[in-house]
Amino acid sequence: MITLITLSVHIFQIFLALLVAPFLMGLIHVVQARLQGQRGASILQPYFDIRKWLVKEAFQPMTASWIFLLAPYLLVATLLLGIWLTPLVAIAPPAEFGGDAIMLVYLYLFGTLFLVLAGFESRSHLAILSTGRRLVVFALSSSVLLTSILALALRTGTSDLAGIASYVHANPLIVADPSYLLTMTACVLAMLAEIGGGPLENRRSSSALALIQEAVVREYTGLYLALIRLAEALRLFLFIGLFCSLFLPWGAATDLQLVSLFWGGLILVLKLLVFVVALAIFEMFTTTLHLRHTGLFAGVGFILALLAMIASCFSI
Amino acid sequence: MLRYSLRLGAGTSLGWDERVAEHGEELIQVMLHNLLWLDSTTEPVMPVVSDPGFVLINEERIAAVGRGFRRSLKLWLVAAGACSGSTLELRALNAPIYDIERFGIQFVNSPRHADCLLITGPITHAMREPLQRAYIAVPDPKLVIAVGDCTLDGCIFAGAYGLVGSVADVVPVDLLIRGCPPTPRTILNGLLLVIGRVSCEPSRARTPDEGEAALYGL
Amino acid sequence: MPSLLPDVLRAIFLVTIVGFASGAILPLAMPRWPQTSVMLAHSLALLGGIGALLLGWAGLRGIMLHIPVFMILPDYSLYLSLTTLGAVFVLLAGLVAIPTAIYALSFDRWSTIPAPHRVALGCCLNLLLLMLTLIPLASNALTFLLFWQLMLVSASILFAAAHAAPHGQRAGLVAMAVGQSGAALLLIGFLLLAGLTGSLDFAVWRTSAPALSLATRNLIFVLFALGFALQSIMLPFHDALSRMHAIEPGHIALFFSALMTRLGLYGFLLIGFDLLGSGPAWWGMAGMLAGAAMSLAGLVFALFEHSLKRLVALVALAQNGVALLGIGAALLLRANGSEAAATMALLAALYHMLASSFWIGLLILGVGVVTCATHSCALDQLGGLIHRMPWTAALFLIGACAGLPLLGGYIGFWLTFQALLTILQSPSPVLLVILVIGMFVFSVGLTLAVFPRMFGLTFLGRPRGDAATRAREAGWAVRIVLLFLALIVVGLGLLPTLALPLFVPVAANFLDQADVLCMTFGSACQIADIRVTSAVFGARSGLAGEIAPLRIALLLGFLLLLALLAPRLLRANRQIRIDAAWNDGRPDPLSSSEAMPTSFVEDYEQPLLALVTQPRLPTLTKPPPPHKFGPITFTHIASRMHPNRLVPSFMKQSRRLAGMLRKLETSSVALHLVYVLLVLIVLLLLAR
Repeated sequence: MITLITLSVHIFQIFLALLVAPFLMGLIHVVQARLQGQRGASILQPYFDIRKWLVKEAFQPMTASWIFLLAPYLLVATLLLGIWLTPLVAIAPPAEFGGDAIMLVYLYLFGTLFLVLAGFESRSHLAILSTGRRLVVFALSSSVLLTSILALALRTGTSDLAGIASYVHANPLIVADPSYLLTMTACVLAMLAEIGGGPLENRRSSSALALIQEAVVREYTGLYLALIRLAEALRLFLFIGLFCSLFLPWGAATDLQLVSLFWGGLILVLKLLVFVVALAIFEMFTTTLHLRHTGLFAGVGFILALLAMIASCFSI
Repeated sequence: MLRYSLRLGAGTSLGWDERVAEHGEELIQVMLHNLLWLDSTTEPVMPVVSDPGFVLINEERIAAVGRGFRRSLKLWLVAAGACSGSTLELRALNAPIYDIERFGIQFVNSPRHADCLLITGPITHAMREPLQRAYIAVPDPKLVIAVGDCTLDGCIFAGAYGLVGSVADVVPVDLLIRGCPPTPRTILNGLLLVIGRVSCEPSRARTPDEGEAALYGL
Repeated sequence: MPSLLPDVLRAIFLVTIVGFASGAILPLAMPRWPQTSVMLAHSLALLGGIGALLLGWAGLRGIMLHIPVFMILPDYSLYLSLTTLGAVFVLLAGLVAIPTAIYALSFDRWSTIPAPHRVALGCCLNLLLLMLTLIPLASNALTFLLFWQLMLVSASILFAAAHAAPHGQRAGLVAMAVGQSGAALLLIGFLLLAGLTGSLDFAVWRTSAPALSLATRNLIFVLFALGFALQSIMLPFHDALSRMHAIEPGHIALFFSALMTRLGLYGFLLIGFDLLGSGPAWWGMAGMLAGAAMSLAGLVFALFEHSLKRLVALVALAQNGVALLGIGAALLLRANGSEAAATMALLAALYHMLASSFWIGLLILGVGVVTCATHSCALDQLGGLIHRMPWTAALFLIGACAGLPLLGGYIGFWLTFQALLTILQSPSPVLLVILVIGMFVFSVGLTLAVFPRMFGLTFLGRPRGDAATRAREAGWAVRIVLLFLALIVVGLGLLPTLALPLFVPVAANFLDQADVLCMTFGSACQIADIRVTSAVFGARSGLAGEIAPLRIALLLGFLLLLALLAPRLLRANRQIRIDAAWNDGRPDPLSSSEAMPTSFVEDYEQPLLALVTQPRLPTLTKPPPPHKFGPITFTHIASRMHPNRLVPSFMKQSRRLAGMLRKLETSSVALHLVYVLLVLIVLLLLAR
């Protein structure tokens, strides 16, 4: 049953995400600027941007319909739902998260699908061009993500998120398991493709032709752009959080005591910071792949995930 | 004419190298400091502007709108027939010395995401409509900054058959940054002034009427 | 009371049969009033559909019905009986017949089809429905084969009536040839089985067929599986089938994909689970491989498809593949001895079949509406319909998203994933199963690319053809049919526990531990979540998986509401300016220069091909003339990949064979006597 304390853990996660997620985006930019010898924007820049966009007027292309206006809300809602369902702060068995790993992947796709449809509506050349590319990346990376999660579910014997987390938590020796390592690599590749920076896209490029995700949202302004930026930050939070809870759940609270929840939250934030800095450094030192190599990128992930599945069959 | 061409050359081909030679040591120092996280403040380089080098054309609007962009200003650049002189100087703003992003100012790749339209170059007839469309595309509240003398009167291109004339005939300009091309420092000062991060010396600041007069008189 | 029940059921059965049969005959009796005849035919189809629905429902509740129809000899009679497995397909026939009939009744804008053709269509539809209801009821080989033949013939007539264009006729001919080849294989299989068991009755086969030697059963299984696969999957011939689906009235196309091809699955279930008893594991493995390959191939071809109708038809075929994958998994699990897991796989397949009939039905009827409104199903000519047809667009979107959670198609996917994971935890051909999982996952991923592309190019953006700018919304009755289907799709997604227990008796017929799973579903019914506990499967410990669609949906709704209210609370600027899109300063682009299906194909093709080959540029077939502007033609790999060539060669070979057979027939009595003599000699030799 959902008790009051479980509910408050969920709500705490949501608040933590809303609070911390834009900060992570800011951190990426600051670290990258520093590596380029620049001082870069303030670490709070995403918050300033979002606040500013809330006062600016919104815009809707003439041919757009309700899908264009609904998509950002739905995107934020599905990401928040994903954060609600993922055991980030606590992996305690009484906390019933009800999150199934397979379903979580699809839920995330729900919002993204609407954003892609909104890309169709925006009707500018570049937006539509990048919508096609986004669809390819979307189809490939979601397959890789799903396969790697299936491999992990196979290894741990459950597709329940909290179940996977507690299994990994209880068996620390799993880190030496080949299937675990392969799955982790595949998962990282898929998440890199979805996060929208890294090897597939240069987020800060000023040439719209080279963009994939950034150009899909080209027509959004004002409130809607604020929502989309928030969603990008939430996605970063969710993906890194999901990665931590699936592969590195150590440190999360195992009971629902207030003290352990506090430590769980703190350690979660620390993990997020470490991974975000690592991501920023990785993005800094990789060149962007050509679009035609997206398939290869995803193919490598796919093969790795299938290998992980084979390995976990033999390591059960 | 000779004067203009000399300035043009200084701005585009020689300017950057000169500046690197001049600031080379500073550049390395700045980059190293930034990399090692040694700086302690994010205050702007010049708290008070002594020589503006720009014309405030619509002071009320800047006063009304600019404060809203104090921590976040997105720029969309339209090169309306420019020789790339001013554009290059604008690009220099992204480099470590001027490092425009520390003020929350950033170039973006869609006018829909922008707050401020930067216009360079004499306005050609071909770019007249695109410029107007770009102005419409930027969501309100917005600012328009013309960069370089040539936006005003065509400068060395003045009188050419392909030019519209003044940028003010095409879109309502709020601030003109003088120079052919203007130095990055001038541009930066202009931007910081617009968003209220530095203040102009009251004696040097021009009134809107003077601004208009300067605009059309030149 | 219980004694009354069979009588009521018998009455329902009679209503169904009489409804369909009179619907097939009566309209022909009054050629003077075509409009009335059409109305009559479809009303009777509606009546029959309701009857079939009730009949199927009753069958699934476990009520048996045996009806000897027509006695020639004790052994060679037509015999119908209602089994739980057959009831599923009778239920499906009813479920499809009802929206089809309402759709056809309300559809008054069949401008392209002349009235006599419409009467013929209505009659054939009823005839086909009759056959589709009777085939799952057939309880001996003779009945089955007779109705099977009648079904193929009525489908061909229907096809000929619907399509006057020569290429359509040709596609119908191909489909007919494929169907008959399948039927020939079935005939051989049935004769073999009849000869070995000495009876034509399915009931006798059930008891004596499992005692046959493994080699014989393997042979019979292969014959049947190929025969039924030709009906439901048609992998190399799917092009012809998708053409066949692409015929003009939307509801007929629905018919083909939601019912006729599904009968192949019925046959597969019948032979794999019911008649031949428990088989070796490779039966299941073969089914899984074929299913996964079909679903992947269907979606890959759908990705490159430029015609909306054929696109939906290919997606529909891919769903058959998914169902076949589930059935195969169930067979494999049963052979491995994990009966409860097999039950889950079987339920996954059946649920997916049920749900996909609805959402594919929604898509196909939606495409029918679009085609009628624009007189075109080429994606190049559509676009921007969401403004002209908002209802159709919104409902179509539900159909297009059906594979995502909270909607009907997802439950089947999820259960199939769980079943596949369970297979890997028991001894099984690991590499092959992982191959199947890979193909399945990839095909699910491709669905995510196919549907936005389909929906986006049809309904979003700006109209690219003249007809699309003049499109009108469908009539209210059609909209109600679509709404009804969409509501069922949503309902099946949110409350799967209401429909899942319905299929448990089917599984309980063949599998031992089905009732354990039934209890698991039953207990969780209140909050509408599915729990797959590993206690059921004897795996290690803890929970294997759980989804609670209703709870998740409520939560999502709550969070969406929060997101919608947040701007109000934050006092954000909620003004919206409506303006032309930003096109890099250029004026509004020509409608023909925006998102075209072809431009999307290029985007898909290269990264997908990079999975298998070295990425490369599309080849220039005709280099542009130097220093001149002119059209440039590119060759896409996709166009070369299309197995269109297979169909003509198949047709050529079958025609040659028919010609050779025709040479034997010379209408000379003497020659026929010689044949008879030869046959007698062969028979005597065999009998010795």
